[in-house]
Amino acid sequence: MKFTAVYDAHSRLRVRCGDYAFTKEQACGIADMLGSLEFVDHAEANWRSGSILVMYREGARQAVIDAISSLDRKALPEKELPAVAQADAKFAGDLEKMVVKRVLMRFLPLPIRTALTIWNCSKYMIRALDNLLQFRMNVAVLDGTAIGASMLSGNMSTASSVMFLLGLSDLLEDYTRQRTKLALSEQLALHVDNVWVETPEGTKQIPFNDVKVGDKVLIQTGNVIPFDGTVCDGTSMVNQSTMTGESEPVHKQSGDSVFAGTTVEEGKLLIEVRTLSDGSRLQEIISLIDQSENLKAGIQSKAEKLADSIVPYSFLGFALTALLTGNMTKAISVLMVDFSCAIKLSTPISVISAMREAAEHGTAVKGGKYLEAFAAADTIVFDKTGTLTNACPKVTDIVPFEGFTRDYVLRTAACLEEHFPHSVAAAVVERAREEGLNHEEEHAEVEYLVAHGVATSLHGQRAIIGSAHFIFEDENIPLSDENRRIIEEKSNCSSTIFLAIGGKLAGMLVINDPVRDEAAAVISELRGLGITHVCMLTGDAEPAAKRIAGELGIDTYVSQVLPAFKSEFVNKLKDEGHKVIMVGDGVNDTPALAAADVSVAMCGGSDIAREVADVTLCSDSLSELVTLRKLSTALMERINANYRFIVSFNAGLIILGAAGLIPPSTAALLHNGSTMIISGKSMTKLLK
Amino acid sequence: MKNVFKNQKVGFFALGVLAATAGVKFLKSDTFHKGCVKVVSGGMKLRNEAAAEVSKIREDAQDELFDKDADNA
Repeated sequence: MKFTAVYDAHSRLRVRCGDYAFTKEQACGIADMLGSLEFVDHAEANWRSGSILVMYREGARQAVIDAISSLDRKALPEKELPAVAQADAKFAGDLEKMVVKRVLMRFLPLPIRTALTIWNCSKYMIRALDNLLQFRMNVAVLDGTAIGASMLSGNMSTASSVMFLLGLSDLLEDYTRQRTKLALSEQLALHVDNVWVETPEGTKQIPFNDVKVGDKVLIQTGNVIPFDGTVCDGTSMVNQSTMTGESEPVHKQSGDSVFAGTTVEEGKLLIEVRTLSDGSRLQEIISLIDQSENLKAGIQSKAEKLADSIVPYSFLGFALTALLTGNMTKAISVLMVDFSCAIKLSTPISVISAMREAAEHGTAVKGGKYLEAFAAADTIVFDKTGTLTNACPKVTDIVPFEGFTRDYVLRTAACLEEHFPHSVAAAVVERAREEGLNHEEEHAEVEYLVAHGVATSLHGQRAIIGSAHFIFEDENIPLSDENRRIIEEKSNCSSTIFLAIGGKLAGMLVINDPVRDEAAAVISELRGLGITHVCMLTGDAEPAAKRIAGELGIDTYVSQVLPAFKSEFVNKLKDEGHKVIMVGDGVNDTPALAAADVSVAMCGGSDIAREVADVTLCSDSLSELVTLRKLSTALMERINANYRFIVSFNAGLIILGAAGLIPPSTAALLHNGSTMIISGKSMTKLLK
Repeated sequence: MKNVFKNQKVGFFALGVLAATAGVKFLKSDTFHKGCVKVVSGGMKLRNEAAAEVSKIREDAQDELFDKDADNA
């Protein structure tokens, strides 16, 4: 393709190929193609000016020029515009249309202009009448009356500017809503990298993007089913709450249908892919978040109700002014100004913009309500593994007891643990693999006791692996004083799991899970942001828990907890009047996550925790908790500041209007203008 | 019987009808159609040129800003 360079310095090259040299889709395709080259850092193409901008690695100038030259004008790459760009383009187009229409109106002869204004205003009149007939006194009625009254008093230009500003506000609101939904759907999009597919040559792991309709995919406990399909083998309990809202898992067996976004809670399924997820279901979930009344921030619902409840007072003000002054113009001024529309508009825009901003920080928040709860919380509860730690535990020591060898203990432990998606289990399996200890499957079906451990039968003997509590108290495995001394000495404040075979203690595995680098800093920052109470729940033994709590500056910790206790603990805090944030990641955290005022799941955690949690941290760093706290607090401050400004500014306008100091058209312009500015400001970023 | 054609009002009415018919004819005529197409397409072209120009101005401004920043750095 021929081009001329217009900027060529500092590893940045901009060339132009002539106005409209390629289409919108081709521009997108060109940018995509150039951007994927290894020596290119960033590429964009503008279809209007026909220009291509490339930022490249040092020394790659010639390669960039060659790449652009090699583009064939007749066979340019094409790509569908990303949804966000489409939304932007639509907004810009709609805005342009509105403004151009308004400007063109001025050139029309007066009678036609009047006719058009009447036509435009009929829409508002009909809406107002419709609401009135249903005995609703709301903002629509107020808008209709204000427009109608100014039309009747012969004030066409006021009516049309009021309608223009109302239309502009609507457009702005729709656009913000749309952008937020898109940002959210990107964040919530199913993060599935690899799946196990059954092929004639055996089970094979392939990237999810390579899965085709008709493939048979194996989905295990704790994982999200990433497509719609039919079960062809296996039975399991599937949590369909994302689809149906029911919290009880449903039993699925051969022949049943399963849906994208649902989670296998127990068991494993072989599923034939029917349709690959196209994100449409995700879109449904997102609109649910957007519309569902019980996900809305309390302050938002309050604002919407308040907006409508003020309307009768506006009419009262109108009637009083008309009666007292006998001046219709002054009375209409009062009607032109209402508090409700600004509050009603700016509050949801603030909330959804904050959700979008959170999404940009890699945090998916599933409803405005949760931002509000996050700002109000004074207590945070961490489930240690996977949140305060990297969830990347390592087996640091293996202690066999009499009658068993070290390798046997590790091999057997790995053999039992490999069936479950838990970080500690993964650590055991990893250690065995590192040491080259392979094993044959010699045991019967394994039984997974949530948060306790694993039990199975091995060569006719009961084999169990799990926490000290599970082994010594639930299963009553005898512990000699000698062994107790060994355990105390070797465990050295770390967490431990035990293996027992045939009612005899076989070995101990010492597990260390290093605390995240940022954990201590995050906790102290959260304290600075008004969180007064920091708690930690852990399955670890007391010494390990105490050491970590001390290191991180945690107020309350509970060691050796069971999942049922986790939710009990959260409920107890709530009963004491605390507002609780629960941070967890495991399958066993779900009851506690559900019990908290607002729950946070780590991205690296189990799918089911992410499903249940109100907030997901996708960046896998705790520092996002601090960001979210700052963001949510700033949001509440913004809403309240907006509220104060709207009330005082509009009250001022009403007084000025009623006193006859400003005409209705100015009052309308100032009122709607300030509403637009407030709404526009509410869309801006809360954090620097 | 009155002579209707002598009545002035009727005469004006008839003229009006004629003018309206001619007007509609003109509106439907090829010349008018072509003329309108020309005006609208001219408007569209102008709009596209303006949009491209705005894009170019913005791009050049971005380039200049980048240049300044890069020189200062």
